[in-house]
Amino acid sequence: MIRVYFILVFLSALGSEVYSQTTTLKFIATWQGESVVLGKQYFSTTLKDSIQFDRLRFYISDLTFVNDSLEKPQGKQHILLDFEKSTTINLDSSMAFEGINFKLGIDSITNVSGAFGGDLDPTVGMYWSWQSGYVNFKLEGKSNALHSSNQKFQFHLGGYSFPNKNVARVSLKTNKNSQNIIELPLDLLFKEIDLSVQNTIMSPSLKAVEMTQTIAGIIQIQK
Amino acid sequence: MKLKFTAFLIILSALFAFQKIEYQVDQFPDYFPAPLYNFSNNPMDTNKVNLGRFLFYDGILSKDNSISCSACHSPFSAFGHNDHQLSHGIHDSIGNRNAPPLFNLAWQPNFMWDGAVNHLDMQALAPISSETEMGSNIADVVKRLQDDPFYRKRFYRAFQDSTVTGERLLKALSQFQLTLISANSKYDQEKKGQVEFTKEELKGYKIFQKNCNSCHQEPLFSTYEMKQNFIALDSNLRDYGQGAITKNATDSLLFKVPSLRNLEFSYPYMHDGRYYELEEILQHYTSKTVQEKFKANGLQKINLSAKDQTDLIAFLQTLNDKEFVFDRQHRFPRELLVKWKEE
Repeated sequence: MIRVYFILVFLSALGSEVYSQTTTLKFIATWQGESVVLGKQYFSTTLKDSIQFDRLRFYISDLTFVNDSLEKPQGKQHILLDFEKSTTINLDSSMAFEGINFKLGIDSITNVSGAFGGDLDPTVGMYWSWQSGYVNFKLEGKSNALHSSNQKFQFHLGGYSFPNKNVARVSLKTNKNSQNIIELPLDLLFKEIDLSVQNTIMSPSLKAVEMTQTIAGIIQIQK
Repeated sequence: MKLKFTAFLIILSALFAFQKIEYQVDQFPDYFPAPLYNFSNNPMDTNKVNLGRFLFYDGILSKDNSISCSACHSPFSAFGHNDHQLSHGIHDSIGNRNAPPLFNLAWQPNFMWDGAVNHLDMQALAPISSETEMGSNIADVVKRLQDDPFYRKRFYRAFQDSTVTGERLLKALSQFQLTLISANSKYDQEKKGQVEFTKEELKGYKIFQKNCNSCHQEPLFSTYEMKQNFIALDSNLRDYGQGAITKNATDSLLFKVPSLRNLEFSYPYMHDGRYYELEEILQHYTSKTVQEKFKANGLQKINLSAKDQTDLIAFLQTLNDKEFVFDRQHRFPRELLVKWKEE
């Protein structure tokens, strides 16, 4: 009897090994098709000069897998993608899916509900201190074409209340494999921004909302 | 026998150490509204309150260990900074606002004179990061606390884990500040039927209800809304209040209505600390210039004779809560002196 029990336990463990599956979502930033390395210089045809990115961090929320119009939540509600650390999300999911949905940014309720830990801990550098609210998207860098202080550009995008509510929905059709690469083509973003005019956003504003919408619109699955 | 008594004392002190504070039930009068702070996200606990109290009084939150929260929020000033017009900070810097007194924070919907902070838990981030207050940042503070055996031990007591995080630090600070409840002034005692107002105080109460209660609503003596106080812009400070945060012209010069409790201990008054005497404030609100501005903004005129003003001040003095101001539970914790001596 005991022998039968151990065989059953062994088979069930083996079964879970066979059926459990890890799905990986890897986020990358690109410049003209090349994977961006922070601190490395790239050439901008728009600026006719060099551009480099020193910091890129953003939150995604409410990640779901979509299959046949059905959505299933995946992983933590809020995930910080920090390009100085890790931008890969490993999910224990055996669900077959044809698309993913997520929101770029942190919802209003979380923004007004006090202190949280983990990815939302204010020590990760994504919370304003002089006013309340998460910085949903942070992109910093420099370009020799800029005449601003230290030739730097800084975009800290956030805002949780009308009219500066700064959350954008992203829906992507995915590849049929367990690893999908989600690409943020920064060259496309910088085609929409005249850096000589707009090189700093540091508080909630309509410009921040507009830029977040642009970012959400250019995020794509790498083919 | 002696051994039994010692064991009894140890058990008693252990029980006391783990005693939960029944904050929501016992600590405020029934005529107070329901608190706005969501205690279910940060349940009150004696060890967390104690940790928050150490953090509140320790300069470790500032870059050079020189400025604690209590530097500008002293218990004897109802956790404000009496006799100081503007807040003081690191390297003898001077801020651009008067440090507001701290009490009854669980009932406040927003924090700071400009209402820029939406939750008590997140308020400490502002002074910690301010160049003219503590000159640090939350990540550095967490590292300093993690490197300090005194605090590792107290974080363990509070959270059953010695790991210091931003969330834990902020929630512990909130817990101590949530215990700062002012609800035993003469006004409160009268409400509870324990004492009676004098004739002057009663007259002053009626004058208050007619002229002041719409903004300084009892029993908290503030609606905590953002309002114009119609004082002229200080040309040096150039503080536009909420307008500077929202960038809306309609929010320009709006400041949070302060509570009128504990005025005796928390002078000077207004967001820039320009008035040292209550008489000056009454003169301001009854002046011809302000009355015209009230009229232009559809507000009710305030007419107060000299006698009315005296009676009103008599009533305002009933809002001073000495028991709160001199409460030993809120004072500097002596264990910090031992810690500092050992360092």
